[in-house]
Amino acid sequence: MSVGILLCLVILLPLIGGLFVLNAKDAVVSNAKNARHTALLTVFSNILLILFLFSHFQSAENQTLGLIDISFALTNKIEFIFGADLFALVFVFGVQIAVFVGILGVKKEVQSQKGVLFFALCYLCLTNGYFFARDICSFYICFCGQLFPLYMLICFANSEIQNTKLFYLFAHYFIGAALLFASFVLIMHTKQGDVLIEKISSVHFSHQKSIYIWGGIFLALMLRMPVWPFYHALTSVSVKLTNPLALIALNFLPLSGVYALTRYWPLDIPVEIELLSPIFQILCIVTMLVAAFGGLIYSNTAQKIHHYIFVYDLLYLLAVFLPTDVIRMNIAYSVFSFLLMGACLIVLQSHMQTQSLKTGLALKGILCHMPKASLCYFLFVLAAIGLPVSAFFWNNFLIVSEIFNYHLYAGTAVIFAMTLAAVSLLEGAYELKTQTCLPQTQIKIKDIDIFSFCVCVLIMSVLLVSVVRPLWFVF
Amino acid sequence: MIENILYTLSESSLIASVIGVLMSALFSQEGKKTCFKIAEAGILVSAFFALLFYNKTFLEGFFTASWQTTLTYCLCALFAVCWLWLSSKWFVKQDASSTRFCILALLLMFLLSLIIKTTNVLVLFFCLALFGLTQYALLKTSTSSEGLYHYAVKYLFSALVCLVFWGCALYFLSTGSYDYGTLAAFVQTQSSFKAAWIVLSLFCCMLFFIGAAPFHFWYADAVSASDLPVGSYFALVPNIAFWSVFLSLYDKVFMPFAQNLKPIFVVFGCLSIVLGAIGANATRFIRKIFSFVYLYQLGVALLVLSTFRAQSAFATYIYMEVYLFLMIGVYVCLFGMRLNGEHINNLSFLKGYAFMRPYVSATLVFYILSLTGLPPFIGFISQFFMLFNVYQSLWLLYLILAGFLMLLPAYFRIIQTIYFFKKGYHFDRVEFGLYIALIVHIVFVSVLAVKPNFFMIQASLF
Repeated sequence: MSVGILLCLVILLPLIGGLFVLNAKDAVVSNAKNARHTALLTVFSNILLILFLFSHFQSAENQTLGLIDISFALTNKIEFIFGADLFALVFVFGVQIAVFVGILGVKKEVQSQKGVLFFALCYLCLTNGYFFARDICSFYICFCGQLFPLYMLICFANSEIQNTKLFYLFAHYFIGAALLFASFVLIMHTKQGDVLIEKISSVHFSHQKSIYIWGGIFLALMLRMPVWPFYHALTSVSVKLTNPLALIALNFLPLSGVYALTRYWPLDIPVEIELLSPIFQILCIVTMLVAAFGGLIYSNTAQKIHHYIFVYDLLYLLAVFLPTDVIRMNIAYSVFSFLLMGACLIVLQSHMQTQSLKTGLALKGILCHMPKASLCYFLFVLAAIGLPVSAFFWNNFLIVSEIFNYHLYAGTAVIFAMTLAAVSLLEGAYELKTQTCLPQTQIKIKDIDIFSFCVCVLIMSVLLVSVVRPLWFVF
Repeated sequence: MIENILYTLSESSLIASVIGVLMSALFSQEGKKTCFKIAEAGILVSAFFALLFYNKTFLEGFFTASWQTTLTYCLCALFAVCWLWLSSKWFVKQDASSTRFCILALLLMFLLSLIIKTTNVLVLFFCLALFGLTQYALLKTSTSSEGLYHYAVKYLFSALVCLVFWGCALYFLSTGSYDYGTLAAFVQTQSSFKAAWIVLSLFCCMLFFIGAAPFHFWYADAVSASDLPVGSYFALVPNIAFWSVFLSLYDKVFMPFAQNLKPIFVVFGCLSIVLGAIGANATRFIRKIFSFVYLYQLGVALLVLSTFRAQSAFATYIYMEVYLFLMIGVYVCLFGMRLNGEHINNLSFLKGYAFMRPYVSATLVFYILSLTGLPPFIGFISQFFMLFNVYQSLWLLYLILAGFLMLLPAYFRIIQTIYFFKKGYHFDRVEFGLYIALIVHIVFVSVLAVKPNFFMIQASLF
């Protein structure tokens, strides 16, 4: 099978799976389970396909961009080009696993999860397209196209969510999409056709035009990040969601901004925009500190996890703007681990919340009655706070050391924020494990099932073995 | 002579159909369906002859035939056939007489054919006057709303005021030429007052018939308050014809006055965008929402035309064409949405519609997303080609995108009502024929999305 077809399959398979998911009837519980199994099978197949795609790279050093290319001509001057390199594949692989874990967390006994699963798979399809897009047209289509499935996913997950909150969140995203659209129209007009994204920096624009173009792209990507003042909108929607799949999709959307900035942001941008860089970095650090403190203040462990995720989103954002390309792959490896851990934590947290609601027990001490969930939760919390034996720690160590190298105060503030986030996460875990006075016999709490437990253990093993060699499962 | 008679076959087939409808009303027992079938056949035959004599016309000097007029008329005919087919279902359900409706439909098509083909402002004036009266008569066929009588009178009165201004302009032109091609040159020789009067009266009158702000006040009422067949006529049939005429005038009459007209285009365009977005967000009537969406689309098109570039006119034509194609799909869905035998117009009655009628709901969402211009739907491609023409005025581009953002909540409100509110009503079953129509339409629209140059000529040039 040619790699081009493989690449197409990786992008389109979730959509095909989504159509099968839609086929299940709502009225029957077994069919609802069937929809979940179909979704799981789809994502699992995609994971296998991606592993096969990895095998086309001879070694970790071979990172040639566009090693695998496939293009479709829409018109004479618009050609959709998709390509994969190691950097994109690491992101895509991480996202597939995160979504797989998220689907595992979707309650199987509940009917009408069809909408959630279908839109999650549509979202996955467009996210894969986004990571593989190489020209500005396909990039924009996937960038903007992600938003509607996400909106539907959130609404299906919690139909009672307040309109105003959703409106503010999606207003940010759509403003970003509109700005990106304007920038791309300008670029395409200058070049009189479609342009490869990495070639944008080599196109010559007038000074004013280049400010509009780069300013538009910068703002579009920035509006995806939880940087102040956009931070509040994301938090307010996150807290209203309990569905793990919706939470994973929403919380990891900022990483698409990190991906694009890491990959395409050039070093020689207009001076006017470059001048804003320190202001932006200060904003980033301040938001990081606010998010870290926020996590510490909230007693709700779900809130703590969201804030922890925001802190790390912003860490990657700061790393992207460092005047070096050395840590580019480190960011990718770190994001990969982060995706895996974050998804597992969200799913476990969601499971605990569901059981708490079912049994009427408080979340405090709930882990005492779930030995398997407890083991997994603590392992992931330890890895997330930077346990030195995890790959996550080493990659973050390099990123933070580069930030220190760039600016001492910035590095100190980042370390401080990361420490606070770690403390808040540990505090949350401690709360969940505090012994309750109820006797074991009176408590009917369901632990995570054996399959989910095995998946969690497998993910933890992947993270641990990655210390020795990143992407050991490929090379 | 014989040639000239042949060239009138397109129009005369419509007149013949009127006679056919009358005869059927007098002698046929079946009534309703037969009238519609005759009307549909008449329009199709008319479109066939228009296509056959695509570059030939009668009374040359007053009328012209080109690829643009033929395409516009064929599109009009296609939209009219779809509209009549949908309307026939309504009339059968309501058990109402359709003779008057079908005759008016054929007369309107006849007048539209002349309006599209004419190159003479005097002929256009008379056609528009007759057209206004016929539309007034069509509006009065509605029985659903008590206030509709006032809306119809308001429409007729406004149309007459506009035409009076046009009449004055014709008086000023009486010493010169009425032809589009030579009109601009003559106007340039006139005093600034006369020139401004002539150009502005033509411009404003056309905006009134198109339904653009600030002359839009009648349009939303005509679409929303009237019966569904009448409302769908205003939403689907005459728009592309008037837009085509407006573009002809833009190209031949308004272009030499670009410097003077540019601010007016911009102001009216902005006004249409803002009023369209606000109106769509403020109302709870679904047909009214789409009429405001149309206003918004007109605003965008006017802003693009304000650049006065050669390609702008064509880009907006494609844009409106795609928009109207999508509106056919929307109206097929609206004809399918019924509660206790009544077609739903109030959004509150659509709560939880998706739970009972998932396919129609999903299709409506598909059309809404296409209308928003979100990728990867067809609306995005036409929007992209059009906005590609305003790259020189960056602020225009940002303005249009701001309008798009203002309109989004209205679209999302429809989706939210259909999908995420608890089901409250037992909706009527959707006819099988409508499902087939939706499938055919979706396939067609999807082909356009994948291969835009199949239909959009400019896409192949792009």
